[in-house]
Amino acid sequence: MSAALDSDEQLMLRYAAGDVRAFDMLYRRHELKLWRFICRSVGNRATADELMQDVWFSIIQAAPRYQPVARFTTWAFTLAHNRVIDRHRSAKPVSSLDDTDEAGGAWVERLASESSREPQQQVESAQQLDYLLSAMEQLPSEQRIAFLLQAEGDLSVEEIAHATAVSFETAKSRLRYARMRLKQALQERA
Amino acid sequence: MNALPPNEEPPDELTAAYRRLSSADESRPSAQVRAAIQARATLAVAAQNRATAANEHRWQWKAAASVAVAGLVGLIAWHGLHRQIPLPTADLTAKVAQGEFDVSEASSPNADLRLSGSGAEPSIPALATSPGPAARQNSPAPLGGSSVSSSKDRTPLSESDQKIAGIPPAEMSQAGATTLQSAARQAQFTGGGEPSEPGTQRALLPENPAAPPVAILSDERRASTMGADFAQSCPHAADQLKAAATARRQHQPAIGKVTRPALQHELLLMADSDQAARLRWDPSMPMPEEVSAIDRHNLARLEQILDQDGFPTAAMVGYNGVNAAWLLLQHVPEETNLRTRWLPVIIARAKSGELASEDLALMTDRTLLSSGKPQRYGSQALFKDGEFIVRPTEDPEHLDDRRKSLGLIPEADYLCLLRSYTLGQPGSGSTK
Repeated sequence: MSAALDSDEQLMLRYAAGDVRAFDMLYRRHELKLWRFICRSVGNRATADELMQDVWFSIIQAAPRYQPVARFTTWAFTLAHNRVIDRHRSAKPVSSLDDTDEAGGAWVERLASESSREPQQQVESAQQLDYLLSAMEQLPSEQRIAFLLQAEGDLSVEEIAHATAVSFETAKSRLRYARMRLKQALQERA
Repeated sequence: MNALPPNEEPPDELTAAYRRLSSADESRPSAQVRAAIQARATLAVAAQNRATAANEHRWQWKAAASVAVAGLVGLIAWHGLHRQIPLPTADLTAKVAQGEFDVSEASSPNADLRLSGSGAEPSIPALATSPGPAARQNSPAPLGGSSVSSSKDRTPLSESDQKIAGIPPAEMSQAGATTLQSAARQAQFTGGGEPSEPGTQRALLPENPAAPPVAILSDERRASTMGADFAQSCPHAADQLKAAATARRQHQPAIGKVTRPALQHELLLMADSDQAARLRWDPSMPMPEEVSAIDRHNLARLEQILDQDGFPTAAMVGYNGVNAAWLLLQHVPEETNLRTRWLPVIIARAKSGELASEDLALMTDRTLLSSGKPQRYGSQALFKDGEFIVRPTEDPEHLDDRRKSLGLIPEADYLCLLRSYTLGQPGSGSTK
């Protein structure tokens, strides 16, 4: 069976048995989602890079003992969530202007060089994304995380509750408020 | 196996909009992060394979030992039946029962049924039958039975330190680790950073050369460090530093698992780039642009780390991570005033044992000189006309007294090491 067709859990088991290619496949599948979840939760690319390493180092370390009792995605996002929370608790909030400028600058450059879509469409998408991300930043962190776990990790309410160590009702409530506020923000813009 | 089912529900409008907009965002984790993760994944498999091989080797010894023990029992039984030669049967049985019997010795071709703790020289080197500390920490649960090595050969490296380390387990023997660490400690000389002080180099503790890109550079540095052969050129200094390093490590509490492994990894990478560039620095030349560029880059990140987290602790990044952070701080340009600001923390860390007293002396002296005052511990020297000249020092007559109060070797020995390390020449330090 080719690695591309394997489930996440199968890839993890293959990696645990020593197949590094399986890990590469697994990493490629989840790299972007996990990183976006972390980055948009902490709001800092350098910190996101560091936490990203932490999460994957933990996955690698746990591989020999891995048992597919839950979806790999749920497990990975739970690890990521824990790192994000640890960081929120241990570090004072820092908004790096340099980091923001760098990201913004790179974003503009990419837009300028991107040729696959119409320029106007690209700019509108970028503006909409910026607006959406800005609206997400206004959310309480618990609600933002709940939304990101669903949107990036495709986690169900039950899985979000498990990942964030809260009750089903609490997770559901957080998600509902987050979605309601984001919808309002988008409607106001429209 | 059956794959666990994903969530089948189609994304709602908001989630779909979020994903559509996100797909236009090309922000990615940095290439360094990806490389570090993939390198770690590869190393972990390699370590696992080594541990498995080592365990298989141990299994062979165990099997041989079982045969030997069975033979022993048979021999005892035979003697018991014939009562021709008195043997320490009861004592031996008790030792076996108490687990004090060393199976590796019993299985040795030259074994004469020695008991552990008898003082006899083991006929099988521990490394031949057991992986080093790193492998022991990394390997899955052992197969059971007694271990060849005693707990005495455990280094104070944290589990995370050892897992990052790219050193083959066989190289992580206590002797090897001690030699490398003490040799590197001996080389804690004034770092570069000022055009007037080229060639003064300082080796990072190689207790934890990390993933591949780090390990390569660390090997270069290690080779350079070991090439200096301190034990031959400055024997007195080497002995003192080795003893001091051993004593310090014994007082450092073991760290089970660092809380910020990625930060540890990043600090080691930054320190490695610092050291690699300085190793290429011709002592007779001003600071090259390569070193300046690396210092600027490292400074930017170090400031961010200090701002976010403060000066890292050993619990966060391991002792080698703290040492790396110290190195980076030591090499920041004078105009930043960063060293002056963080010196009180460095003093506290040296008191708590997270940093060596040499580290404290080096940073204190550099900070004093930066503020136009004479140095206190004589750690800063200029390289001029092929010789090191100690920079202005307060009360030179009592310099060695102050150094002694901090647990440092005499200045003459220090300069001997400095010459030996930097120039590869025997120094003229004390040889008593």
